[in-house]
Parts: sequence; C-alpha cells; structure tokens
Amino acid sequence: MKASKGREATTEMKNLNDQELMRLVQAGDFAPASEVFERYSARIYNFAYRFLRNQEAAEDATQEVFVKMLKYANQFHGDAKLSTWLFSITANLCRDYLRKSDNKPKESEETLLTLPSSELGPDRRLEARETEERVQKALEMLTPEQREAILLSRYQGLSYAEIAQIAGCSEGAIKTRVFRAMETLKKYLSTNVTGDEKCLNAT
Amino acid sequence: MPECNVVLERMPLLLIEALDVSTREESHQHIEVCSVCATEWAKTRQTWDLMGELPELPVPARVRRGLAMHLEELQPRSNVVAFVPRNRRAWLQIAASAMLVVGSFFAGSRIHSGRSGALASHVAQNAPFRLAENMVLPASSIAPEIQGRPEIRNVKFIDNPTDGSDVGVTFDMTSHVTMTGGSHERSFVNLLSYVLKDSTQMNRTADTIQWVKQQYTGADNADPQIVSALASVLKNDSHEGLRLKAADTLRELSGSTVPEAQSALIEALKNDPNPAVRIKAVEALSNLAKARNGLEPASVDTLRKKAVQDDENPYVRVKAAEALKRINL
Repeated sequence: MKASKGREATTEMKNLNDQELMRLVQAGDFAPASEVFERYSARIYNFAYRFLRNQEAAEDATQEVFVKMLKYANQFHGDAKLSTWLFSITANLCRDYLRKSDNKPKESEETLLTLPSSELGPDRRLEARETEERVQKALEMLTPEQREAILLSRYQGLSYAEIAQIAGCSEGAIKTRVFRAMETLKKYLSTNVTGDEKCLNAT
Repeated sequence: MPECNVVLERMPLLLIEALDVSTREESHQHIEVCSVCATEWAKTRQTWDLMGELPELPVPARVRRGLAMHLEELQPRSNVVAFVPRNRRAWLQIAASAMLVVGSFFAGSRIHSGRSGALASHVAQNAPFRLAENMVLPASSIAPEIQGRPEIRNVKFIDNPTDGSDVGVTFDMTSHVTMTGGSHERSFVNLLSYVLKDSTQMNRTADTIQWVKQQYTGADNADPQIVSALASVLKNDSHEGLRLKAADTLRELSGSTVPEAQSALIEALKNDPNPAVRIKAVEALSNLAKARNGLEPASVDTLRKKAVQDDENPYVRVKAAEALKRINL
C-alpha cells in the first residue's frame, strides 16, 4: 500500500511544473526536490564536468547545487526560470572552484573521456572516442568565460539573455564570448575534421 | 546587404535561430552570394554539429547518495518560524512602516489545535523576530486590514500546506511570508482582493484569478469581497485576457449575490471590445439569473438588446437569446 502511495506521489510530482515543485519546497516539503533532481541533475552535472574538466569536482558541484537549492529555496521567486537559477548556482560554484584551483585541470585527459557505447562497432567506437577527445581539447582552449557561455548555449540551449543572467554580464558580452569561442573552436575542429592545413582567418 | 564582418558575427545567432526573421533572411541572402561567408558558414555549422557529438554523461550514484545524506540534515523539523514582537510598541512601529497592520496575536482563546499550538509556545517564549526573516503565519493571526498601498510581490499559492491547513499563500512584502489557513478566513480574502485589485503584474493577477476559481467554485456563497474584486478586474483591467478570466470566474461564482458583479457584467456586455468577454458576461448573467430566480429589469433589457443588435457579434447575439430563453423571458 505504501509503495503504491509512493508511486502515486511520484506520478503527481511529475505532473507539476518547476514553479509548483518549488512552491512545495518553499513551504518546507523536501519531497519534490527529488523530482527537481531528476529533471536537472544530468544537465547540471554535464555542464560542471565539461566546464571544470574534473569528475570529482563536478560531482561535488552538482551535489552542492541541490543542497543550496534546498537551503535557499525562498530566494527563488519564480521571476526567472528554475533552470536559470540552478545554472547560476552551478556556474558560481564552478567559477569558485577554478579560482581556488588556480584554473588548472586536475584530471588526466584519459579519465575525462567517457566510455563509448558498447552498441557501436569497434571502428565507430574509436571514431566516437577520437571525436570526443577532439571536442574536449577544443573546449579546453577556451577561456573559462567563453567555455561557460558556449556550454550553456550549445549543450543547454539557453538564450543569450539567460546566459547573461547566469554570468552576471550583459547580453552583448555573451554574444562576444560565444563568437570568439566559436572562432577558436572552428579553427581547431574544422581543421582537424577536414584535414585542411590552412586555418581560416575569420576575424 | 550587410558587410561580411557583420554576417560573421551573426553566425552563432543564426545557428540557434535567435535572430529576427528579416535579419536572418538578410544574412542568408548575403551568405548565398558571398563565397567567403558561405565557406565560413559551412565551417561554423560543421563545428557546431561536431560539438553535438559530445555524449551526455550519466550522473554518478555518489551524487545522489551524498545529496540524500544532506537531505536528512536539512529537512526542517518544523517550518514555523517564530514571529512575535519583542514588545507590542516596537512591533507597531515596524508594522506602520511596512504598512501592514499585523496585530491581535494568538490570544490563548484564539489558538486552534496542532501547528497553532506550536505558535502559542513561541509566543510564550517571546522569541525575537527580524523583519527580513521568512515567516509562516496562520491567517487568523494577521489583522484583516491592509493599509496604504504596500507592494506585494511574488504571490504564490499552495494548495495543501504542510501544516495541514486548507490553503496557503506566500508573498514578499518586507519579508517572505507564508500564510496558511482556510480560504474563507478574513486575511486570505483581504489579501486576495488586494492582489486582484492591485493588478500591476499580469501573471500574478492571472494566477490569483485561477486560484480564486479553483478555491471558490462550488463553495456556497464565495466571499462577496472576492466577487467584488473580480468585478473590479472585469471592469477596469486593460488586459482582455484578464477580463476574460474574471468574467469566466464570475460565471462560476454566480451563487454569491454582489451588486457590483452584476453591474460589471452588464457593463462588460455593453462595452467590452472583446466578444469573448461579452460571451462570458452573458453566461455569467444567465447563471446569476438562475441562482437568484431572475434578473433586474435593466439587465434583462440589455440582454434583449444584445439578442437583436445587428452590429453585435453573432455568437454574442445567440448567447444572449439563449440566456433569455433559459430564464424564461
């Protein structure tokens, strides 16, 4: 009976939107936090992982984001989207980490790469691994500000206005960061992809 | 036609389709005729696509486990924060400055059971409060008048508060306040009326109307003050969506006999520029007539005129005719 009630509650939570879930959390009920975790933990973890290039730090950051969400739930007023608020907390934690660790990646390149899906054939697995390595290396060439902006834009689908809110700067600054990031990525990735020796001078 | 450098700068925005239609079109036209930009655009898209090859990583189990441990520590034993003045005079000074009169705290005879008992013990201890803290209050502890024009922000509704009350509402004024109790309690009714009438934020008003509809539909005689506030929205709000919602909710609350409601509905039927609002007004008047066994002559007269008015929207005319038939006129 209890399990059935639990399932019903879980289904009910899934039907609630972010604002409704947060209202419950604000009223002191922490149960809906697990639904928020389900919705956002993967996005937050991936962002932190790609931003910090350190698995342990990304795990700590993800955990800390949800602890902060619970502690400071009442500071979420629903003016912004929940995703923007959570990514703001994540980005702050990541920036703090980079400041403290003097911006040096602690992870070896090997551990940063994920295991390609076993569903792929050996050739395709190798190719996927090489592509991931190339993209990861290209992202490492960016400044932290550019990386933050491009990760939020490319992988999280946030608008420039939302990214500006997260980064605490103007939309214009985000536009510039994404543009410069793309220029760097383009030079590195398109050269490697096409085998073209010449870097394009797009600036 | 824009310059190459302008088009190049726009390329990341073109990728995510964040440009307006004309700028997008203009940029694509340039790319079609400029070989340099066409090459750059191809490279940009290729890079963007390649970046998409980065796999999404699953969240390690350690994160979930760690969070579960934190949750136990963080889960509040009680979400009731002490909210009592150091002394009545100091409180009144602060209350005056905040323009919300909060008084009549928890005299022993007024305390109910359960959570209120916990509040009573807080009072007995006379714990201090700070203006900036989050407060959770039973509606019965707040005096019913909201004086002046305080700005009430971030109004949100809670259907089943954790303290077992029927309803809850949270809002920011000088502090973040959560008020819980019954939907017919004076403080709730006053706060809702205030929020409805002070319709400076469209979303907030829309949420409030929705909540009013949810809470009071089917209830015997929705509070006249709420009905009157809805009538005010119907009569005065510049946003047609809100007027429509107000008329629709008045239709559901027709059991409550409030003169302002009827006059606002007649006014809307006569003058509202949006036919959907006028249709809702007819439906509300029809329900009102049914609940009260008839309508005042002036209202019936307006319905009759609408039913035959040539330049009226045909749906409004049909609705008006149906309403007259329904009330046997």
